[in-house]
Amino acid sequence: MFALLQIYAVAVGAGVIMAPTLSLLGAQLAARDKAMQTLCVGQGATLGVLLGLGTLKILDAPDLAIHLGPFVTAVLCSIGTYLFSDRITKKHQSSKNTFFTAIFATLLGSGYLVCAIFPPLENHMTQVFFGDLATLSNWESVLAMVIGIVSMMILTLWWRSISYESFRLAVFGGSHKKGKSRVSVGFEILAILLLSFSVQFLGFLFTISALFLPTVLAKLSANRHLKQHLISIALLSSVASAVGFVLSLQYSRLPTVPMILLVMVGLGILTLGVEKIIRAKT
Amino acid sequence: MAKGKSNEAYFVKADNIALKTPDGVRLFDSLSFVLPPGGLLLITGPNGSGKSSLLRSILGVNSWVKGNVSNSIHPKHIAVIPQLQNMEFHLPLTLREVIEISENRNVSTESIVEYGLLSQDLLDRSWNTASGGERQRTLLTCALLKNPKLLVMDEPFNHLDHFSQKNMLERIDKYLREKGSEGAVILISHLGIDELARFGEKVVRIELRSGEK
Repeated sequence: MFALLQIYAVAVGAGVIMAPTLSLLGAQLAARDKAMQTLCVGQGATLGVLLGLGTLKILDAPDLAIHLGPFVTAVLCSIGTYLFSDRITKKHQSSKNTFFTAIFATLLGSGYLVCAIFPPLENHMTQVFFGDLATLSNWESVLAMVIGIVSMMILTLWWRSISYESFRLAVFGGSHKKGKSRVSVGFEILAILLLSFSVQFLGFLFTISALFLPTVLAKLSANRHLKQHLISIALLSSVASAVGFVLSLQYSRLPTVPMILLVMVGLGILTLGVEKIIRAKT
Repeated sequence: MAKGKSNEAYFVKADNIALKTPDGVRLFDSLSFVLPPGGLLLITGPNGSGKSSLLRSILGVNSWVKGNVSNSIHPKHIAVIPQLQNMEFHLPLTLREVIEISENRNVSTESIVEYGLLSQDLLDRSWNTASGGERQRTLLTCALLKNPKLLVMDEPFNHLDHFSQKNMLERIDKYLREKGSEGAVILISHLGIDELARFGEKVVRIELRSGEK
């Protein structure tokens, strides 16, 4: 077990850093009622990764291109999906979730189609969708840690401005100011880049779960404070990431990402239970 | 503060303006008004008459208005309290935290309470379970903390109890008296003559009617 941990230490580190970063991002996206749209954008990124990989493998591109290319196509597809889904739902706000579901299904189907068209991708669909932290190379893990730390610093240093922007958009439904604020634009750029990177290297399931599971679980508690919510979701996701990863190493039949998910839900429910007991006693 | 053709200072000036929505509804024609320093511009009218659209045009957010409408205040000196569209917010936060994220800093209890809108024991109340009046008073406190030259409020008294409405009107009156010629207010509301009486001669009242195609 210890030997396995030594081998996967960097990958565990990547998960422990990326999970809370994604959870902080996801909390703000959920506050802006963008969860369904993020699902679409994430699936758009998945499609971009597949398109990039398929094209570059057929062209027999060098290794660097095979790693960088899919990220670029993922970002482009994410931006395209975001702008398209935003525009098409602008005049249909009451049924926007239905539109997003339709877009998600279309993108999912397109992803499978791309896999069928590009033979080198036959085994890749599952990998891209489910991802596996355990198969991250060392340099990919280090890259994930660096990107995770930088993104977390941005989300932490500007947590008030970003939260206020989320509040303004959610509660007032828009702006009485012309154009988007710098905070808003910066947040959207960070979200697209982080989402695309995470989908490519950590997989769609890990990304979406880390984005929204922690904030949903924490929302069920009696806590009234924003800062406490953000700290608890970061802690929950990073602990779940570490524990889930270690358990999947210990019991090799258990896949890493679903294990992390399960631990996250379990820890969340446990925390809620303990909180309920403490409240009942006081 | 700008000066008009007659060298008279103004905060907002509209000269023969007309408003037509993108789908062709004519909301108003030939509207002119001036909001002088220290004044209160009250925009009133039925639903769909263009009150919020006129407000957005004054703030430069949309360009649906034909004609000359402008405000002379830099955007950083304008505090806007838009109409509440959704009551609930996904993230938990207290009324104090709403003020602190609006100000982007920790704010002392004394600084908040001195505006007379929120008491200390209310500050720890959750935004999601606060009453409409408590929410609006929080938003007005956020706006006043910015020390604006132009205070803009879109339907702030909707669904408010009498105490909250009276409290807010007193505060707006105090703001105008303290600011003197350095401040002004734009308000979209259905205030009656009784409520407006406290503002006396400062009120510039615009009543819009229903639009037609």
